[in-house]
This record gives sequence, C-alpha cells and structure tokens, in this order.
Amino acid sequence: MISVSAVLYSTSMILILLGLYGVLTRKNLVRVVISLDVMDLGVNIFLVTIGYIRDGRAPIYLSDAPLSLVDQASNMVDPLPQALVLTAIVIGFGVTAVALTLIMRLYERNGTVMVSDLRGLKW
Amino acid sequence: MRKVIGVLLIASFAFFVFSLVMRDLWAEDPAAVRTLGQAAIEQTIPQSGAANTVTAIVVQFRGLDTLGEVTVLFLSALGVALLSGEFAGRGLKEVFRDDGGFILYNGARLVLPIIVLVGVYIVAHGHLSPGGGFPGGVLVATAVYAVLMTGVKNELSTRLMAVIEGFAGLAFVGLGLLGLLSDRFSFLANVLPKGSPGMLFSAGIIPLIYAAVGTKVAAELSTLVTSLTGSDYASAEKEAQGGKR
Amino acid sequence: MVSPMLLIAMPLGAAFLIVLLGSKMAARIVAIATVAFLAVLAPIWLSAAISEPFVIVLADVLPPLGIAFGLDAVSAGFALLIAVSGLLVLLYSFPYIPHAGEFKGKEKAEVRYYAIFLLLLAGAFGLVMTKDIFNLFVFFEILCISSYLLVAYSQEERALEAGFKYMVLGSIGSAFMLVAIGLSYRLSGSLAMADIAKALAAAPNSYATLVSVLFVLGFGIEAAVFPLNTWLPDAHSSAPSSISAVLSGFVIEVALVVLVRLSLNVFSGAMLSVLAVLALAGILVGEMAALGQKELKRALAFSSIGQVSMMLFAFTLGSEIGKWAGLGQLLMHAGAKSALFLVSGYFIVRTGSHEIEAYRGLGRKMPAAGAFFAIAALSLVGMPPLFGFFTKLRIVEAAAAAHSAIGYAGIVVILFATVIESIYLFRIVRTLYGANAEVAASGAASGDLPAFAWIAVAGFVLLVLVGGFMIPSFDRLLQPMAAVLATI
Repeated sequence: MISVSAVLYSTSMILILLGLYGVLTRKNLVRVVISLDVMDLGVNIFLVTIGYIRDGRAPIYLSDAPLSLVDQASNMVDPLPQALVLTAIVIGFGVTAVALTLIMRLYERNGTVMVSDLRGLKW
Repeated sequence: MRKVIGVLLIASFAFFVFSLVMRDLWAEDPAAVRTLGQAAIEQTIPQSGAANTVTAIVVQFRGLDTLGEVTVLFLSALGVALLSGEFAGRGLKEVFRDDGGFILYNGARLVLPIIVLVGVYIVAHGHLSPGGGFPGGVLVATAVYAVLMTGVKNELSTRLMAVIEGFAGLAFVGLGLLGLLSDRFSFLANVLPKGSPGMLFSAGIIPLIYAAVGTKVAAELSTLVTSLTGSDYASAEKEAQGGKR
Repeated sequence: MVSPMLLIAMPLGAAFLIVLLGSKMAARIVAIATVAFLAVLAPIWLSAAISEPFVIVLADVLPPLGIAFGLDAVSAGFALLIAVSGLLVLLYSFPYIPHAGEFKGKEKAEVRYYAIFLLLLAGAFGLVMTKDIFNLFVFFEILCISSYLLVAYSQEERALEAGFKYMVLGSIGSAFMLVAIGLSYRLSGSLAMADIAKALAAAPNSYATLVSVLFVLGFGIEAAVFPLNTWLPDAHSSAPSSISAVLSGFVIEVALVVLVRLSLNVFSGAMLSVLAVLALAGILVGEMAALGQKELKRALAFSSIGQVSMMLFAFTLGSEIGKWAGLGQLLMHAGAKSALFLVSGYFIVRTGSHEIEAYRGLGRKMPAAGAFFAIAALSLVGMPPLFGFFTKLRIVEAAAAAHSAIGYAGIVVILFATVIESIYLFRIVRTLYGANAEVAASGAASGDLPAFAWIAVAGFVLLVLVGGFMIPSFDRLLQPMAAVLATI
C-alpha cells in the first residue's frame, strides 16, 4: 500500500520541480513569481511531511482530555518542522510582496512585464 | 529552446534526487534517531508552560528565529514602502473607481468588529491553540483592507502605522532583553511566572511576545496595502494640496 | 564584559527606532551611533574570543533544543570587519545617498535606506555567529532581502531589473537550502551544525553528497560561486555605490566563509574538490569578462567574481596556510574593492556617466579621488609594497605547498589572472590621468570628494597602504581565525 508520507513527499518534489521549471522558462515576470511560490509551497509540504507519524495527534496538550499528559505526548507528531514551516511561510510571503512591488515599478517604467522586452534581464 | 533546456535540467535534477533519497524517504518508519521535536514535546510544559508545543518552539526555544522572521516582514514592509514611493498620491479612488455601494459599505461595518475580535482571540490564545501572532495579525489586517476597499475610510496614516510598528518591534526586543535578568543571563529567556498550562494567563512572556508580534504583523500588512494602493494619509494630503495649486 | 548578543539586538532595535522617529537627521545619528558603538566593542570581543570563544545561551534553553549561538575567533574577526566597513560606508552615505536616483519621496526613502542598511548589518552579524542551520537560513534571508532592496534603491530601470534578477535567483537558492535543511533534520533529528556533522559522517556517502550539493546550490548563489553568479555583475553595477562597496566588501565574503566552513566541517568535505575546480573557472571567467567591460562598475563587479574565486580556491586547498592566505586576501579585497567602488560612485556623480571613457582626465580634476583609486587598484593587482602583493604571494605559496595537480593549475591560473587584472586596471588608471581638454574645460566634474566621503575612502585605502607593513600583527589575528575555520 502507498503510505501517506510517500504521497506527500512525491507531491512536494513534483511541486518543487514544477516551480523550478516555471521559473526557468516563463517569460512573464508575474508568472515567474507565481512559480517561485509554487516552489515554496512544495518545500513547505516537504518540511511538514518530515514531522509526520502514522496516527499522530496535533502537538498540543489538552488539559481536559481523557489521556494523561504523558500519553498525549507519546504519539504527537513532530512539532519542530511545523515551527520551521511557520517561519518559512512568513519569509516566503515577505519575498513575494517585495517581488510583486518590483514588478509593479518595472511595469510603470516600461509598460511591460515580459522578460523579452526588458533590456538587462538575460536569463 | 529554453523549454527543452529547462526540461532536461529539471529531469536530471529529479533523477538525481529520486535516486539518492526518495526510496529512503518513502519508508514510513519514523527516523530511528531521537529528534529535537520529541525533546521539545517533553520540555514544553516544564520550561515554557504553554500547552501548544509549536508555540513553545516558535516563541521560546527558537525565539531568535521568530525575531528574525518578524524582521523579514518588517524589511518587506519597508521595501514595499520604499519602492512604491511613486504610486503615492494616486489614491485608492483611482484603484477602485466606485465606492462599494450600500451593501458593501454597511456589510463591512457590520463584520468589521467580528473580524478584529476573532483576530485578537487568535493572538491571545496562541499558546493554547493553533494560531498565534502571525495568523491573528493577518486577520486584523484583513479588517483594515475591508475598511479601505469598501470605502468606509479612504486613507490610512502611514505615520501612525510606522509608530505602532516601531513600538511593537521595540517591545519584542525589550521583552527579549528582559531575559537578561535570568540566571544564565540569556536573551529572550522566559522569566515571568509560567502559571498552569492550559490557562489563558500562563506561559510567561509567550503571550506578551505574541501580542507584540500580532500588533506588528497587523501594522505591517496594513502598511503594505496602503503603500501599494497609494492610499497612505500623507500622500493623500499632498495630492489635495497639489489640486489646490 | 558586554554580551556579544548586542551585535544582533542593537542594529535591530536601532532599525525599529529609525522607522519610529521617521526623520532623516535622527536616522543618520541613530545609525552612525549604533554602528560606531559596535565598531568600538568589536576589537574587545575579538581579543577575548581568540583566547576563549563566547558561548551564548539563547532563551535560557541549552542547544540543541535551543539555538546554538556564539562568537568564536572567525565570527569575531568578521564582526570587526563588518562593523568597521559598515561605519565607513555609513559615513560615505551621508553625502552620497541624496545623489542616488531620482524618484518621488526621496526624503522618506533615505530614512528607510538607513533602516535597511542596519538590518543588512544585523543579518551579516547573525550569519557568522550562528551555529544552528535553520537560524542560519533566517539570517541569510534577512541579509538577502535587504540586499535586494538596497540594490533596487535608486529605482532606475536597470537597478529594478538587477534587483529582480537577484531576487529570483536568491529565492531559488533559499528553496534549495530549505530542502537541504529538511533532509539534514530527517537524518540527524537536530538542527545544530555539530549534530548534523556527526550524523552525516555516519550516513551513506550519497546522502551527504546530496545535502551538500543542495546547500552549495543555495548558498553558492549568494557567495558568487562560479556558475551561480550571473546576478552579480548586474546587481553590483546597478546598486548605489555605497551598496556595491558593501556587497563586494563583505557580503559575498561572509557568505563564502560560511559556505566554506560548512563544507569543511559539516558536509565532510564532500564538495571541496568540486569547489576548487569551480573556483579556478570563476577566476578565469571573472577576469576575462572584466577585461571587455566598458562600464567601470561592471568591470569592478567582474573583478570581484575573480577575486572571490581566488579566496575560495585558497580555502579549498585544505591546508592551514591555505585558509590563512584566503583570509588575508579577503581582508585586502574588502579594503581595496570598497575603496574602488566608493570612489567610482563619485566619478558617476560628477560626470553623470557609467562609462570608463567618460572619466578621461578626471584624475586631475579630482586629485584625491584619483590617487585613492590608483592605490587601491594597484593593491588589487598586487604591486609590491602594497598589501595585495603579500596576500597574493601567500596564496601562491599555499598552492605550491599543496603539491597537487589542482594546486599547480591554480598557480598558473592566478598568475594569468594577475596579468589580465593589471591590463584592465592599468588601462582604467591611465584613462583617469589621460589628457582630455573636454573634461578640463567643462564644469561637469566640479569638486573632489566631500569631506565624509573622503574620510571613508581614506579609511579603506589606509588598510591597503599599511597592510603590507603590518603583516606580522595581522597574522596574529588571522592565524587563530584560520585554525578555528576548520572547526564548527
């Protein structure tokens, strides 16, 4: 049987590769940024999947749950990758915001968002 | 041509990655090593008093990462404001040609307090439930967007936002410096009383830091939108003066 | 002793404060006071760190659960370099930045320039101090994003394009880095570099290779390792000159040293031989490309690629003397290249042109600027009494001492590169002092460097002037740094 993590790892790799392909081949700058975001998404799925365990529970202690704290702790998923992804998402957001602003300025200057119409951008 | 090169590059890279690790990753048994995550699960309650282990990691154990993360957001808000200097003064009216109309206008006013309330709730319960400063701050910022887009208000003072942002940032660094009071004299240490896990008033400085982060994120995202749509207060004023001339 | 944590906390706090105050004068005062304070403390930290490294416990949680952080000889040395360069470049920025670009809202933009500059310094300090691989990523991103923004600062078309190109490549790199971090965490269950090193040493060889390839792909983009440096000439030539000086002076070098340190200690040297070959290719490509440039700053940017590759080559030799030589070259390059970029900034301001040909005769109009430029250029080529001669000589010695094919190939490449370097740098200097009635007559080039810019450039030039005579005292610093570079 195909395991959940196998599906998730494959998905993440496919997304990363798709994003990379998009960044390398697209000529519209907005699409380049979208491709970067697809790539980021793949990376984030990859990181979360590292923390996955079968039948794990959310890594939050519940004071009113029937289980004792120790029992709760025994099958929690790994919280560390989740914390890393939180940071990575925010950083990705920051980069995207700046990239889109740069595109807006370029559009204002040149009236185009196509790579081929820009002088300096040789990819 | 570039597509062919792209496909070739990607294919060789994919082959490289798959041949080396994917088979290993597919095996589902959790890694044989004891991970930091497990250590974090055990240490969360004794060391931080939070119920949410992810929050304990994000705000306390790896607090410096979060400070860096907040800095990145700050940087991008600064950068957008820097680069969008020339949009300034164009005004929201040009972006949204008509006002929202009766339903949008009053609908926004109706849901506004609810959005803000939910945002504040999520920030305040960051140490107990999923959420925290980042998503909560984003929610509060969406309330600001709603205000701007539906025409309840047409401009926002960037100066005020900058002041809120600066204070929240200094509060984070200040709370971190509070940690210098601890035995080991360490930045960002959790020195306040930790209370009992699961209660609203627990986990020492974690809720305070999340409050600062939430405020900062909300102010930064609002700045982002106002500077991108040219609806910042200062430039609207400038435009009005220009009109008079 | 004051905690070295101030290196991170002070620039961050100062940047928040600058935005809070929002006035240009306050921004200048806060920025210069912060960096000057750190530049005064840095030598004290350096001398303390050489005898015993600082271990900083963050959040009262011991690593590996907390973030492993500290200041050892290498990071303290770099902290000193960053703080002093930052101070001089800030001084230069006072008169220079109002000349950079024409766009609406320049007053406010200048305030933001100082805030972003401080964040860039904080990112660079964090990058050399951290011993945790994810924390490294966070500081790396701070450094990168602030460089993207500063490159695009002037908002001219070419600056915006260069910033965007830099940003796209940088983002691809950081995605690769995150995958590498994820793989190392899965293998070792830890994010501390020391734990990952142990786990990778025990793991199958292919795993370490994959992780280090991904990491080099990610970090190499910022460190300008040969095939990944296509953004560099555009970014360094389109940025305001103060930022070009910072990027060439310490940003690439910091990334390079972190990359080398990780390759040596964490990835068990899996990539060293590849890096050595890439470094030699980088020297050749960089110097050859510099030869054909018409724009001064572009030529200097390509020369940076060559120089940085030379340092990388010295580091990859693996011997103690190689690292020692690499660090010396790094110090010399920080002084010389910063001075060259800073002076060329005023050439551009005075003539309004980027082309070398437009500067004909400018050396006579701007005697101080011309002299500074000539001295720094000669040091970069390696003229005997100047610092550059001794550092280059030491790299050649180290390459000869390696007794390997790549070492001998390196000697040939470096000597060849020196010939090319001298051709294009001498050509530029000759143009500067060439006869040109037009420039002499027109009022275009009026006035030499302003006082603050003069002080800043003189500071950098002083380093290359006296460096050669102070080799023994530099060695007392560089030798412990070279030894620490081989450890985590």
